Amino acid sequence: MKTLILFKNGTFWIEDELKKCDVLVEDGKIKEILSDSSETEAEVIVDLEGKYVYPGFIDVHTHVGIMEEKTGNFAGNDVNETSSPATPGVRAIDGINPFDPGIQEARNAGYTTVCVMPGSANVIGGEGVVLKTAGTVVDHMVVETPKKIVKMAFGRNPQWAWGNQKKAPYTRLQIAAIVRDNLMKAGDYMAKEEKKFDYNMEVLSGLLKKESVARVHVANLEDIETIKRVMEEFDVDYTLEHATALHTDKEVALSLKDVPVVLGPLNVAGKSFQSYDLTFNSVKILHDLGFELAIMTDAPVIPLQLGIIQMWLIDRLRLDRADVLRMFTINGAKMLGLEDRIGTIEAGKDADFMVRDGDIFDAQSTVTDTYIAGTRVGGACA
Amino acid sequence: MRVSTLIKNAHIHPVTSKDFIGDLLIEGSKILDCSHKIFAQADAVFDATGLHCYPGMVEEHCHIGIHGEKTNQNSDNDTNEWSSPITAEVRALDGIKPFDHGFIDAIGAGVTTLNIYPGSANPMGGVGITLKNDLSVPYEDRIMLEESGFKMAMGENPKRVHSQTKTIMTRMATAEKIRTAFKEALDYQAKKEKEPEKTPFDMKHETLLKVLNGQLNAHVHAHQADDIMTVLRIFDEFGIKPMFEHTTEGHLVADELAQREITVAVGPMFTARYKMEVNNRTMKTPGVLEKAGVKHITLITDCPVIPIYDLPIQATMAVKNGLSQEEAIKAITINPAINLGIDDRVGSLEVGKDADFILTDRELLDPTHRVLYTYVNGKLAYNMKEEGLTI
Repeated sequence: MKTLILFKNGTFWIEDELKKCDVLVEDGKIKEILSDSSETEAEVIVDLEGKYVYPGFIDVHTHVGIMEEKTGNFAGNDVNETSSPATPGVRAIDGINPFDPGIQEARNAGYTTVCVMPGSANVIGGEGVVLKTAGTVVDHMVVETPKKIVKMAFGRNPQWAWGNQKKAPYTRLQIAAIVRDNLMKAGDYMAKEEKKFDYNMEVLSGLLKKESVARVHVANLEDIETIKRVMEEFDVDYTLEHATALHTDKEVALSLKDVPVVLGPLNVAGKSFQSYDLTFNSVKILHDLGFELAIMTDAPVIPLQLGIIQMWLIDRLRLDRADVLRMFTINGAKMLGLEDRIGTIEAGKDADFMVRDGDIFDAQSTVTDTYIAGTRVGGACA
Repeated sequence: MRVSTLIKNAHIHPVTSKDFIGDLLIEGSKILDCSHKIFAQADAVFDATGLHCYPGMVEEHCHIGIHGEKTNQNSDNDTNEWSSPITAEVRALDGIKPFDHGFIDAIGAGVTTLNIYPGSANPMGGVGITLKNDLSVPYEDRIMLEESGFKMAMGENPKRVHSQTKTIMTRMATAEKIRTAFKEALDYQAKKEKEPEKTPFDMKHETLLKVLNGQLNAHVHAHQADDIMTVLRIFDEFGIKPMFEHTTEGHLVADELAQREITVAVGPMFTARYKMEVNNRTMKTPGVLEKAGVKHITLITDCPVIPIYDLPIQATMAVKNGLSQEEAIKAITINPAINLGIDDRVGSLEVGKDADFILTDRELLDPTHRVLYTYVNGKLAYNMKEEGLTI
């Protein structure tokens, strides 16, 4: 028995512009976009008169559920498995609490898909997972991605986490060495005919077989270049996460044109530590160089509830607003290999909507309803 | 010779009166006139048609310059004098790096007056300072208030920090340390009156006496409602009135605060709930306080906890959650000026006040606005076209 829902009379963000139309949803998927729905037999009608409907927001780099809010400092924090600097075999999904208020607020704010990854204390942190933001059992929230996600981190964070304990890695030299060493071992593991099953080696083998992608935390330019060197040596697919200084050298940036880049969190202060070059201007510089950027909150660094503020701040750069909206929707979907399923309002995709009472660039408009797969899961977020 | 500038046809938001399309005339460092049509000769005339003109914003609670930016973790961080839970004798004045990058960001954001406090590690952290954010003059000439307020702190931070020195393990000891410090200052005063020659000068007690005599306002970091009430209990005992900073659970005791005519600063509201005492953080707090009748509500960034350019965006979010638009603008301009006692100089566009103002292309509460020009003391201090966006 299929359920047909008609989202009627809304103003939908479709093909980079606002269009007055109706959207027919069947079993959680967008079936058809209609200019005239008078002939349609829908079981449920959702009247969206006066409402603006956008694709649900996507954040490809968060720690929600695994770095829980409202639990004080440690109780709900499972983000960094700092028992060893390389823990490829651990999985974010095993530490996620779907009742984290950060997730609830995310869906109320119109974020419908998030990628949750381990933190940046370890050089190889473990596997990440993509979730829809509604549900009580994390396994049912998972969105399968074509490639698995392996979190890595270069630069100051692993240095602090480990060097401060007087353990390796003290230096950037050792960070690169740890990655090389692990990937070499994984190559040997793959070559062995008879082997003892090893979770760590299985995950790393996935990188060498291009069944997985390394999502690499990085800030400084020198680390960006080291990542490029190491990943190219092993022919591993990778993304640059944060990439705080990438915009400072156009030559380096252009040499990485084929690497997906996730910028952020940008609405944070304290230009100290590894973020000397942190600026919203990086969005414009890299966008103008042709990068299809996604913007992260790194939630809970910035709670997802407040993620849209970064979009309003990016609008100060006066880029094409359609391009800006892509940074919060389809660009992230492409990075995850999910562009056929989420990120825009079009036939065949999941009916994930952010419904607002005004234009999304008008800060006084609010999210009135959030839909995931055609079901209202939240809203009423100012 | 004093230079005059005439800003013409701007959408002027004086803050203390209704907005209008008109002109602003400045001479030297002061506002000479602000009205619908000014017919006057000026050295420079600036056509601001289509632009909005607001007073430079006032940040009542930040650590810019004392918690250095663009440096490594500790070398330029002089925020907390951890050596003892009671450091009433120290002053922010002596820890500020006047050319810290944070000041430049503030100018680009349109924030022209900064009140800078020591941190919240100590129940009594020291004395704050108010600076005009005029980077063209020496540090000493930027000082508006050398002793702007006395910083105190309750709750988790003193407990966390001083449990390491075994001086404070519970909130009970934080209260006890405060009571004892006030009492010792009064004893010192009595001894000084009785035996002036035998009483050596004590900076700590002298500072606390200013607080007890009402010469220096106590600004108390308190998130939870119970911490707020503990402060009021202690201050009642000594017959003084605090002002609250952060006030995260202020909405839970809004009536009490209103009835006692206590002023509060709220923020930073854009943080995660990373510690228990901020679990009830909500952007509804300013609106609830306003409806309860709390006066001069102020919004603060605590920069570098959140960026200084978030100051007006917090006001935007507060409006979305129930604060009136009028009070929201005041909360980042005239209200903090009133709370610091500098409203005769800054916080609104009025004749005779300092010529601190900004020109924006959209309304200030629209977070997509750009600050195009910032004037401080009548001088152009930031020009977006030349310097780029500082966000």
